[in-house]
Amino acid sequence: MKKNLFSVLTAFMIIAASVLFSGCSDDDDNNNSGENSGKAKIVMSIDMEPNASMGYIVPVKDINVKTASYSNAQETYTCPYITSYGNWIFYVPGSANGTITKYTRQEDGTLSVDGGLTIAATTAMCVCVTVASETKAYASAPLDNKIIIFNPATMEKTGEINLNDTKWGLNGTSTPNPLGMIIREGKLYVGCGEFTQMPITAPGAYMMIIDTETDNPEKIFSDPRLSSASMFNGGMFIDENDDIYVTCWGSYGYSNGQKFGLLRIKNGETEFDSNYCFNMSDMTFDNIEGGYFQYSITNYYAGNGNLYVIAYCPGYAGESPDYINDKTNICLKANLYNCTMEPLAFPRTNGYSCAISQYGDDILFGLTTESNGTGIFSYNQKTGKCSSSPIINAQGTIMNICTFDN
Amino acid sequence: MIKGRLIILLMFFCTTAATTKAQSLSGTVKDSTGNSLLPGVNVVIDGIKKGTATNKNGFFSFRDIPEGIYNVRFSFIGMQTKTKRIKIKAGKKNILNVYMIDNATKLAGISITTKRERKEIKEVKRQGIPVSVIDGKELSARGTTLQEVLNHQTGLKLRQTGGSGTKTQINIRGLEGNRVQIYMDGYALNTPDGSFSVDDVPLQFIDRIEVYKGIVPPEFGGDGLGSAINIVTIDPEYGYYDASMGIESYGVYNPGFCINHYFNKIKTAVTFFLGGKYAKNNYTMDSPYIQGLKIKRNHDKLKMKEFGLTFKFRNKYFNKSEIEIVGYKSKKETQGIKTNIKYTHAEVWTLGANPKLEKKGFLLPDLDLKFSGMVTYSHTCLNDTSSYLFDFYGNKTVNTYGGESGYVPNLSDDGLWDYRSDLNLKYHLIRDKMDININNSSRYVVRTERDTAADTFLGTNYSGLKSHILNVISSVAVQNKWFGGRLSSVITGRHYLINIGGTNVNLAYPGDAHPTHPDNTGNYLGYSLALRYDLTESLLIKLAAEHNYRLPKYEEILGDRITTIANTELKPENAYNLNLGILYDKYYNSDSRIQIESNIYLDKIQNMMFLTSILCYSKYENIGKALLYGADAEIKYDINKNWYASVNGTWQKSINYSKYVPGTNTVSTLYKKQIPHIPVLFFNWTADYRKNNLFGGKGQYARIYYEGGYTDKYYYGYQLTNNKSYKIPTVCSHTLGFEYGLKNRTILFGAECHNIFNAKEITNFNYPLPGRIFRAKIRFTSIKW
Repeated sequence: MKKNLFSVLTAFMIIAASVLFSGCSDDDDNNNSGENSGKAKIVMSIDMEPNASMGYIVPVKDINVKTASYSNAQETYTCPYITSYGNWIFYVPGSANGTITKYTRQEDGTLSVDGGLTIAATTAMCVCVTVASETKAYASAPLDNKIIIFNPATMEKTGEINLNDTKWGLNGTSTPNPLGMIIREGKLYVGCGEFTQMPITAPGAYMMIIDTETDNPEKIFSDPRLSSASMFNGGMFIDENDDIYVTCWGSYGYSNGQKFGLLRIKNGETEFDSNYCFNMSDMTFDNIEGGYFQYSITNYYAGNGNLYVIAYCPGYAGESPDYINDKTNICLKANLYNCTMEPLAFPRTNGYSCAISQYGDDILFGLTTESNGTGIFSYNQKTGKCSSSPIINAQGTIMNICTFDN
Repeated sequence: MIKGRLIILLMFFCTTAATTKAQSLSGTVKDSTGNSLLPGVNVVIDGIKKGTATNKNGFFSFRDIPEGIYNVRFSFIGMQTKTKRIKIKAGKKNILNVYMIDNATKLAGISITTKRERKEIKEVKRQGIPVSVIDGKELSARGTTLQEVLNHQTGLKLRQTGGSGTKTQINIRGLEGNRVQIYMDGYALNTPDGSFSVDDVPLQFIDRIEVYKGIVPPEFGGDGLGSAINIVTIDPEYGYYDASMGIESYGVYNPGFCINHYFNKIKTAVTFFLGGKYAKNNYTMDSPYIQGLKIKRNHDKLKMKEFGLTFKFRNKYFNKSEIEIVGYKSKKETQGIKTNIKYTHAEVWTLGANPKLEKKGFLLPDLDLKFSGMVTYSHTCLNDTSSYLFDFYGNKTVNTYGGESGYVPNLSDDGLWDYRSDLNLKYHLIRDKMDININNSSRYVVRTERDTAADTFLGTNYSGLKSHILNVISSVAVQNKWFGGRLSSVITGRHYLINIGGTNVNLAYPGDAHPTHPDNTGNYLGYSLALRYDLTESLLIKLAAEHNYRLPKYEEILGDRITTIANTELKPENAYNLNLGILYDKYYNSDSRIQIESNIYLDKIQNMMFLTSILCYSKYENIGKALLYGADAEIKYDINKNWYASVNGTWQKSINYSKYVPGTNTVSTLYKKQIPHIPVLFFNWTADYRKNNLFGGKGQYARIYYEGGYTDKYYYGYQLTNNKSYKIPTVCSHTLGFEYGLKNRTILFGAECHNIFNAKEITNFNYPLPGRIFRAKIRFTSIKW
């Protein structure tokens, strides 16, 4: 009996020891490899759903890194968006939270956390940060109906623009829902959602102008041709002519009759250009299933009229939407001025994919393809060639890519 | 030469034995709990062929036994034969007291915090599957919660989002949520709308709690991935009363009253129970989202009332025939953490009837019948229509979309009919050796959804659509005992059927929402094998293997019309489970016992359902595989009559076993990595002192106990980065309490302090728990154990 007791106790001790020694160690060593140790020229924000309800901001040394290491990544909530200004990177949490965070690129390849600021406290949603200078920036809180003014160097709030006013809402409401923002000649142009139901906006594209000297709203104007003016950073851009182009996402195509594409506010004007409308909803394509796109939320302007777009094609979606298995999103190259658009030779990607950026001559796309890999794919503007596999492998859905010259 | 010495030696012994005849041997025989003297036990002295039996007091005696060394055998039907070696000394009255272990105790499973094991608990532990049993007697006066009790069990962790009545996930061996089935008296407890939680079960009426890890017994008809909790309520057969009041920090009150009376004229026993809970949950916590902000939880109230009216009919044919009418009503506010939710709340009421029939020798002498049915109607109203949104600083803003907690206003008026039946037939093919168990469990749920506020806001009119889901789970199990009972086996085959039908609409496409008419049926087969082998009287091993399914729940397959889209193609999750356990259970005397148990397990899960989200909408999809493995161990030591101590430890790994990035053929970097947000390592320990009449007098009972728990940190995300800030920190908490019983435990008082050092406690990322909690309870009862 003593022998039995001894055996049992021995077995128990072995199990207990294995528990103690293996249970306390972390899962991964997460060593920072030399490949990823220099100052990051590429920073990606990545959503990890459905594997984990969170995301990462991942610094990558440069385009020669074959596989992105997460060892220097910063953790975020789901669907993280980022925008950059100099060495600063601002984490914009979208609908996951109301607090923005500032990171600074470091020479050792890491990102230092340099403060945070609560932008929205009643609805916990912040979708866009626009930096006017090293001491002044704006952050939009669509459901708080406010734009917070802050000092990006210190991350201290310096003021706010309260848009809770029937002057700015539709049909007697006081909820203009400020979304994407861009600054031109001392004026802050703010796309307004005028939501009727999340994420359905009122028909039409609504744009507000705020004077950056006084920070007072001056006017709101609209255009019925397209709907849902801008969203996150990148929802608007300025071309070589100082014309503003506004990405309209047409309530994701959920609302009949709302169209998506681009509108223009010409240099010196404070209204939409009635002579320009890049209506992507009504375009047809022979070489895609169903022949049309439902919406596009992201694009990237690379100059010389070259616009790159990721659009959702409902022809590749099942009866009930499957954002993981259905490869619905297609990369396109558009001519901004001719309002033409053609698919690029990339494999289709899933419904989450939306990141586009530029690195030298390469246009970078964050894609999750069925059989060609996941990560950053590239299109070389000089050769016109698309990479057939990721030039940087990365896990998760890339939401944004910021690139840096040095 | 040697032969000559042996002869001399033998002659010496013979001479010695023959020369003295005045010595005697006597003693008593008790059962292993030390609680009962055993009459009628055969006592035989080997070698001299003397035998006797114990008297009604368990006493035996022999006279005139020759001096020498003898083996004395004690045998009794249903008990393990015990042999004691004793040296009979010349001219002395030799005493031999013996504790016999019955077969049930010999097979005993795991865990109760008392030496006085009851028959029911022993029977549960006889099974070859890993099971922990908590004796309800230990909870009878404690001012604690069921969650707290479960949280100290091996392999089990509860993860809460707040105070009393808030959402709680039970995690057993890395599985949680709908993957862990909750039963009450063997029948699935969870209401379809999730309104009823384990904490709504009054603690004082719990007979025992069985925690099954890895494998679920065949007589439980439900589905699940192999882990389950069965709460067995007390069932006294005599008239009784019971009244109690519990109170705890942060405005939690928990009254309960029950009376039972037998009406001779109608030969019916009637039991009426009335209980409830009122909880403010108004503790202050640090905001996880806004640095430096302290949030006073002021919109987290729970009001709950419940009643049960049971009629037990004394029936000549059925051994048990009863019907229970139950009612439940609750109103629960929603506490905001990210934002300050001020008005959203949910109201639920349920009314139902639950007949039960049991008959031993049904139609055939060797056939036993158990039947239970249930019909309930539940009404749910989610009220989320605030015109304003609020922050924690006193500011408000106009609400763009009309809902505080969702993007759509809700004033729902949903009705749900739930029909269940559970039939169990047990045929004793060879009594006490081989049984066949046939079980059929059916559940048919019809939901009618109405929400005029949502419809008005969305510009639709889809209220009144009905859809249904049918689950039928049938099983056949063969239970065998081999080699005189040393080996027992249970082999089970299960069939799962699911059918979805009716009319459903996805409002995810506001401009293009059309009702659909799903009509899908699925059939699946599962099986299990459980073996138990007694290596020695005190040592046994258990081996169990199972392949089982968890059928999708209503909300997973049909969604909520508004933010969760239906997925009628959703497949059940399935698992392959393997468990190897070892148990050492040794009585040293009636007051001292040691139990050591250890299990190792391996579970492989496929088609895991995940909630995927995009553009404000969500949908459940089958995209995951997981490999779960781990080990747990527990030592329980009844040191003496008054002192008891235990310690247990669990190490569990939950590994992402999806090789590819979902929807691609790209190898995932998350492959074989720890799945986030699941505890990995935790320990619990207990010290307990109990004594009758501690302060003198009669019929008094006192118990002082200390419980500690340590849970190692775990992560909210995959461990990919060196900057792991999203984690659930290590917590070590201590609970101290006492119970005092007067008048043979008819008056009971208990008080305890949970987390006495007020350690920061988080079990779900970004949901801080209250910290230190004081609890007290007083109870008046005539229920006897």
